[in-house]
Amino acid sequence: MAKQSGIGMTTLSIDDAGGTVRAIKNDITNFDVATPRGVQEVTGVDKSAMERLLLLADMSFSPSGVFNPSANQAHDVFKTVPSTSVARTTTLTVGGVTLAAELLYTDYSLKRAASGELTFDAPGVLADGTVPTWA
Amino acid sequence: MRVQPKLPAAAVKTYSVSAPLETHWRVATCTEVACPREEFGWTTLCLESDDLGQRQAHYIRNLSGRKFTERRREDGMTEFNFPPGQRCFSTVIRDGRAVAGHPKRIERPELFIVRDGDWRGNPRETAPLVHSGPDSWVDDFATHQQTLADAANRG
Repeated sequence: MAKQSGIGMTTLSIDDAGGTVRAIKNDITNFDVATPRGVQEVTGVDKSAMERLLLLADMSFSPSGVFNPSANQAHDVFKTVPSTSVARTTTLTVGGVTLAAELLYTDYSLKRAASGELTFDAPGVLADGTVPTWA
Repeated sequence: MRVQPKLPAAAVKTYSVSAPLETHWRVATCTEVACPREEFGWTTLCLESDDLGQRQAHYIRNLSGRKFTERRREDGMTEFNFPPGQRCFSTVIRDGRAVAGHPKRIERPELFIVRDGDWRGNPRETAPLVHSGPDSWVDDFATHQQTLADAANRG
């Protein structure tokens, strides 16, 4: 096996509005992927199979990070979220394996703390209903 | 704006990779992060008719130590133009205090966490699981996703 650096997450890339992939890992402080807890628990006795499928595909992604206005960095990628509605390919590589998903980002909120810190949140949801798997 | 998930928070689990600002970032100079304001200069606007603007202008003129030219605009704002080659006003929080500089990642492995619930909270109040490294976190995540994908494919 090839040597790995101490950094476990090697890639975090998100498309900009034009569909060009941008590596913005260096701006990200936190990345959450919320996914259904289990198959049994989301299949209620009153649910049809169709509803269950929709529920299974339900997944949300939430990258947070520090504001970076440099070209092709996080701000360049997310500044078009309010003005465009395009699915963006989001790629996460950890420990040599990759999770890729088509996401619709629904917000780009900047927070300026009283102390001067400028951070952002850009929540996204699955765009195509496919359950993303690691490859 | 967030899309409200179809599932309740209790039926969701969250896989996180976290590099908190306090522990995984250090304070770096403008040059280290190729700060565009240092490279090309920048403009700061202050509205001196209110208290905040007066304090900002006072800081720039008397305390900042930066080179600048200033002019009063027609809309009443004071425009300070800073030429390239000097430190910008970016700050990083360290121990609760604002320190001049930019955040820059240090080579330390991120925290790999699995917890119940999502951004709405964790109604079941279970303890988070912190994996020892990326491999076991990915293994856990991949197995979980494959279970969901298999169930979805079965219909």
